[in-house]
Amino acid sequence: MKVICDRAALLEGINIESGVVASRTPRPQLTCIKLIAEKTGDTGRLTLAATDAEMSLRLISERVDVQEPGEALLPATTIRQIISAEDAEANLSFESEGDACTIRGADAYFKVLGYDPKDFPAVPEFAEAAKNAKAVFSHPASSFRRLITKTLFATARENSRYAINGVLLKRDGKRLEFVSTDGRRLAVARANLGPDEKDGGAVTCIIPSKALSTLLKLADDPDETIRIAITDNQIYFAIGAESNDDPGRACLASNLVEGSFPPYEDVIPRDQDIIVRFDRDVMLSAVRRAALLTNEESRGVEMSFNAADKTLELSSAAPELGESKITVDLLEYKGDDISLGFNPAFISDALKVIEEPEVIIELSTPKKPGVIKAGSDFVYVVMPVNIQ
Amino acid sequence: MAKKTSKKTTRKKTSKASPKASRGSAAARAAEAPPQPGKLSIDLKTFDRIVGQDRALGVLSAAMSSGRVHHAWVFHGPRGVGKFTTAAAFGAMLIDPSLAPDLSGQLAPDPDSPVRRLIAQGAHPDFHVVTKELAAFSREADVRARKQTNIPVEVLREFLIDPASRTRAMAGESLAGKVLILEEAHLLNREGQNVLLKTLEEPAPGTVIILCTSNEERLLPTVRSRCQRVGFTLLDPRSMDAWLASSGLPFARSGLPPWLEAMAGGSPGAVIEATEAGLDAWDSKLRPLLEEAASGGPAIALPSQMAALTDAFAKKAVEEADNASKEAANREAVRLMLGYVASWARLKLRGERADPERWASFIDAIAESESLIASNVRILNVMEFLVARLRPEPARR
Repeated sequence: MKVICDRAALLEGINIESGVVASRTPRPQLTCIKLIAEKTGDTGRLTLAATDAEMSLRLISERVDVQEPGEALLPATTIRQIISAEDAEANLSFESEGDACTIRGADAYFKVLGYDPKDFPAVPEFAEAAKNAKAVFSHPASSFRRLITKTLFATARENSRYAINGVLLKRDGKRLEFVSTDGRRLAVARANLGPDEKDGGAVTCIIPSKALSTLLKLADDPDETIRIAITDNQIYFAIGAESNDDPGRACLASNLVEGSFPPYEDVIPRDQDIIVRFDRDVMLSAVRRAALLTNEESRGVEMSFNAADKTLELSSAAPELGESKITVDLLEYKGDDISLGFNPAFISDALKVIEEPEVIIELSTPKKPGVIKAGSDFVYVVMPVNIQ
Repeated sequence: MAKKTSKKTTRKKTSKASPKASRGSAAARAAEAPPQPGKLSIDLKTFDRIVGQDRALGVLSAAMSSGRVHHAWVFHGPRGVGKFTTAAAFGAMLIDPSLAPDLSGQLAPDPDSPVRRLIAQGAHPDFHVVTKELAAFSREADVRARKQTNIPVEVLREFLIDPASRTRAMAGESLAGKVLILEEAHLLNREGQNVLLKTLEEPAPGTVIILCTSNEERLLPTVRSRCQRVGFTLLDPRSMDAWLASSGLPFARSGLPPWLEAMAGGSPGAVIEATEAGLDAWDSKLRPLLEEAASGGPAIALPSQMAALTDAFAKKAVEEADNASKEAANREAVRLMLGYVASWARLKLRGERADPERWASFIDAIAESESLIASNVRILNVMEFLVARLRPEPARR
């Protein structure tokens, strides 16, 4: 392999790949980035590939001069440091010699010891995956980002029920739905599919949280399209791809979470008696302030809704700490007075990801879950806590 | 640097062509675990190269031929007889799409299949080996800093239960999608074993979990009852010879020295362990002193010599690996020392003009020493006790 690369572009790619590379692993090959140089006609192409055994990422760049196609497998940390330190260079040349690779700048020469590229688990290509996929479809990056941010925060972190350690993706003919839960709250975000996105069948799968947070970082251009392929075991995201054969600029593949997601539709209460409309920012600020005087023992913030005044009083008290009372004016209130406790973090987590300025919360009794709704595409169910 | 380490380790591994190549004493294994990548290379064997475990291999071959492989297994038996080697060989066949009947009708993998290559390099994403040394790679800083005496629950979750809950990474038609091997499963504490139950009972389809243990009694009945158990036995002398001939060890031709043969007692792993630990040096230092003490000589230096050799062994093991526990290394060293003395005593017992009662009682004393060590009596005192019991009758009065 011999390639000459634009240093800045390469560094950007290596930095992204370094986020995927397994940081602590007994498997040395997984701490490496694989460089694949190809040439078709006059255009050279350099692919950077990394994996942590659960998730893998290919980044494709054409801002390279491929003089000799080939492959190299090099430790991510080492080459990242070298490329980053060579900041006076516009271009760097990479030439592989057996398992090693030399990196040359104008005044510098490095020989980095690597591994046999064959020892690297194959990072799948999108086109290949699309052939065996249960469903293949496209979706705008902006909408995808919205779906992820509105659900990712509510996934279970440490939970022995592994099926909820990820986000459920559910797609039918018209809609794409993301669902997450940690057992005490549930977030559902929906998006309509565009007219040309409706090919492929209905499909559901559970995507590990790590893959989605990586995708958030990758898909930062809202005008791009993401092409998605779902097979029995994996999900593939080709970012900036127009068709199945177009690799796009990046392809993220991830294993899926095994198991079945709990039947969440039954959890969302319907026909709640009390309906409250409020300003998102006012409420977020009030919840944050009330949360200041809570701790492990006091657990929650008490929310007392007053129908006559259309106000809400948030109160918190923690032993040996103190207490607080914050009053919020509501925009609209329908129903009887009610007083119930909520974990303040659970409320503020949801308010943080809502874009609409006005939010609705629906309640029935102090023991039953509350439902937060914003627009037509976000539903959030949260269990109250016992304040006494 | 990582490269260098890896090369070194790989070379070391391949030179140990043994059924237990990737195992050694706990201390020796701890020594193989620098907190850098590069220790996972596996000496992957095919079933026909595993010696003396025909019954176990038969059970596993039958399971594979039937096409229905149970999802949880316990491989139990003495140390150093090939449990892990067999588990690796079995697991590698299960996830290899190239597995097909050969001319003799036995299922065999393609020796050049990329899956075997990745497994041997420790880079296959669906082949997981979980050991206590993985603590050094944990995402939790306090687990990384902990002394490696058992398998922490965090390691179990991160390296076994989490991967078990994910789909396989490599595509292809094979008997299983992913394989997880837990070495020294008895090092899981009660909590760890309970955490494992759910996964053992009902892993995702295509997941196979193999627990290897030389101390099956330490596994909870609830763990054992969820697994299909496969027993491994000590090798008979003929298998032992066959293994030795292919082992590439220095005494492959000349045969084992009698003390080592007695000490190994049919465990190839014990031979490798003794060779690596340099027990021949122990033998040349201690045997004359032991003989002297046995015949009523003063042998004043013997207990301190024994304690010093034990201590040197443990220190070396601790120095070679970060976070290796001195306590565990001491236990390991004492186990080796008592094993050596016991093998010497057994040879005495077999010797001509031996007084069986005297040597049987001395072997009892060795067992007693083990329990003294377990209750934290100083090593030197235990060795003194042992040497006192070694003296001929009149001297003891």
